[in-house]
Amino acid sequence: MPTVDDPLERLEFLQGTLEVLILRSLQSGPNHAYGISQFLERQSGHEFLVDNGSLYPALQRLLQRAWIVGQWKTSPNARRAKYYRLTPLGRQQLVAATSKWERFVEAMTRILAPQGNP
Amino acid sequence: MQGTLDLLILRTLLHGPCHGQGIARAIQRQSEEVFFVDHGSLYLALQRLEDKAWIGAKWGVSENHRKARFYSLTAKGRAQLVDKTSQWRRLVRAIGTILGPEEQEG
Repeated sequence: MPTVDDPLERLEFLQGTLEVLILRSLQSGPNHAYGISQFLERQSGHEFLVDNGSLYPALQRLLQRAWIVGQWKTSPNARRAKYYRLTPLGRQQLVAATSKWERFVEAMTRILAPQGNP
Repeated sequence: MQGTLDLLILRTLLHGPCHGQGIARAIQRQSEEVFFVDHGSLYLALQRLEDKAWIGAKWGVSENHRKARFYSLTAKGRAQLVDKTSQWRRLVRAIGTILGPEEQEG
């Protein structure tokens, strides 16, 4: 189960979810890996710390499925960085995955509803 | 999602002891068929929860007169359920914020 305090368990929960979150982070424009992890950390209210060990394999999977593409560019602080951007397929996938996520949360919420609260 | 299944099992057993098949059916029904629990993952999860002593198991006879393992929540499991439920809510909130409608970023 997602343990906010246990990185290993959290990771296990996030596999799959992380990919969707990455797609979401690219919705407003291309970004490099560090920018993506910063976005996720900030947007989650610092609940998520995305380490490179999970970020890069996830990016790799997204590239393989052609949901994102990568391109080398120079970042504003004059460093070479690979910028990732959503493909039309990735954009479609984001919409589908978001509604799937919402259905999942609805179902979980129904089951965990306080009726007979533990 | 492995951890999620654990949570669903604990939650289902809150209503009382149940055998594996009953647990799977309850989860499917309560989720309005959104979740399908396959037996392989279910029994692995039950084993894992039993190893952690979050659930206990006893042989009994099911409603259709078959011998079955009946699982029940232990005190430890009950405490875990409370814990994991609030962690789950926290995590869902965080993911929901990220996936939520696009906002102006400053």
